[in-house]
Amino acid sequence: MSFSIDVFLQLLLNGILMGVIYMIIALGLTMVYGLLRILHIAHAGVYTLGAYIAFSTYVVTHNIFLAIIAASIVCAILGVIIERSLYLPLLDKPAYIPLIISIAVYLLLAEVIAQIWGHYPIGFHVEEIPRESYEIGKVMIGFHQIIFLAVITGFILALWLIINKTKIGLASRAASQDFEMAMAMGENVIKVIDFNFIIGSILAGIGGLLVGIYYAKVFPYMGDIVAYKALVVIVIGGLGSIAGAIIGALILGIAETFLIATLGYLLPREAFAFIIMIILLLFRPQGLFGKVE
Amino acid sequence: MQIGMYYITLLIWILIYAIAVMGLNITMGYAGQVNLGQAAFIGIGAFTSAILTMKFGISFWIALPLSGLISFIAGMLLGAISIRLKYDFLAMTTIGFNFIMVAIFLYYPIFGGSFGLLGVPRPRIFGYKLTGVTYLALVFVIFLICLLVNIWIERSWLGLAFEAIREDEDAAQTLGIDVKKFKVLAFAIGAGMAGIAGSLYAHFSMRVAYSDFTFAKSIELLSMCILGGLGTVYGPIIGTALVIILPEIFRPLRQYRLIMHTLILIILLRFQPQGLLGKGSYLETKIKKWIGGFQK
Repeated sequence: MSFSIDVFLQLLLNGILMGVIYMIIALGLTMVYGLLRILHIAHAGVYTLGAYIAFSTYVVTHNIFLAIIAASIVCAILGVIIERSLYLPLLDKPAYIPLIISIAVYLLLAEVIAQIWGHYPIGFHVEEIPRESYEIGKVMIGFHQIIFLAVITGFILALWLIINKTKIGLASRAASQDFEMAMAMGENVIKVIDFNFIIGSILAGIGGLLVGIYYAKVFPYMGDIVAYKALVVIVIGGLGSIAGAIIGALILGIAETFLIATLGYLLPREAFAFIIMIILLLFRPQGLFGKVE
Repeated sequence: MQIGMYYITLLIWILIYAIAVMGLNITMGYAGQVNLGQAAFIGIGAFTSAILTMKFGISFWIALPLSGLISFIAGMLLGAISIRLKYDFLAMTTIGFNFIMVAIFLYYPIFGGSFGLLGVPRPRIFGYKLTGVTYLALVFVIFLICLLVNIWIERSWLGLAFEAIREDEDAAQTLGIDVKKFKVLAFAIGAGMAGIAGSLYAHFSMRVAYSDFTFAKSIELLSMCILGGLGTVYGPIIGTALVIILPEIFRPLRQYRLIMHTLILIILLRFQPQGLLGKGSYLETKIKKWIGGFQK
């Protein structure tokens, strides 16, 4: 492995960008897992629907802010419907039951989207965001990538403020530490779960919109890769830990980019994330930030 | 003749899948070890059999047990990797295993890339080619053997050890059960059956491609197992038949097949999470009442 410093910086930048994509999906997943202990794969369906709602709104109104609002509202409602109708009634069942339901909901959403908007990718271009590239040293960075990084950083800061500085954030943290104790203290746990699903689903919808703009297209199966890699992220992070998800996403994005650049000829690209996860779990079965039970 | 062939083909598919689902039932239903990558083991068996017969000219009758064995070893490997993992960490590792295997099938040329391997030969017995009814007979015999193994496991000390691990791992350990050994064994037996199903699959469809062994297929297998009733002997077989036959009945709505399939799965799991024949399910209580009425 010998890189020039330019190549190294370029790979690092690409890795961070990948990591940030994983991060915005993984945050919602980890918020759900922290409370309900459910691997919420349907999250990827919420993400895909968010991208399509934003796309259609933008095509009709040519206003990116309206698109963001529409995607957020639809995703928040969808998240709460999934939570109330499918997850809450099955909390006392073995964990694989909600997991399979979640996967089925994801497949269902992707298929419904494919029936409505068609199976093929649709181009998604936003006039406000020109696709220019800048060269800093020898590292290339696109204008859309800068916007992308800035918006996601903004959202993560906002999430941090909500969780650490508001009352409902405190309640959410309490409930994720000890569900029953929080209930015993008179906390309205259902409200907290709703809150987590709303915030997580809005993040997923915004994530779908941003990734759609980033790759300049939306397609019904765009959730496929993200769904499972975001799961890898929260597993690496230790399941249910928000800091773990943020760091896990960056680690996965960067490690994956560098491994593909060096050992990419040995194995297919898609396998690396899972190999990283399995090797990590061999040494830390509870993930990076997980607690030992 | 045409219609007869259609039913024979349908039956063959049901029996082949039922073998793999019975294997999954041993890992998950008896021993309580979540496995969301069963399709990968079918794939390992199918490719082993296809490569052995096509590239090395080995007879089907040797390739069939060998593909079971190779899958068995792969199952041991996955079991060994997962030995310290619990619950969702285990679930994710098996998902990861499925994705890695599919990526490998797609990437290395020996597996035929995205087209897969075409022209896997039909098995011959004394020069007579097995197709249609004769292939059905072959699949049925192997299905029966697997069913007998399944019943034997359920009634033997092995089944008791699996059950003890499923109910309480720490208690099983204190009773002197070698938990690690039996966990690995549970994965290996389940994978071995999937491997045999894979070999039968390869020589029936005569084509093996990565796309038949994806994670979505694993979920389909798992839904067959759970719909019938996880941990029961006959539940998984009934579940398999249901999941394969239902879409055939709704053939006119083919365009919406996946939507219907997932909707049925969601509704059934939401209201009958223990499966159709599982403990406390609607059907099980009905049947018990009915038998009880006879005994009076």
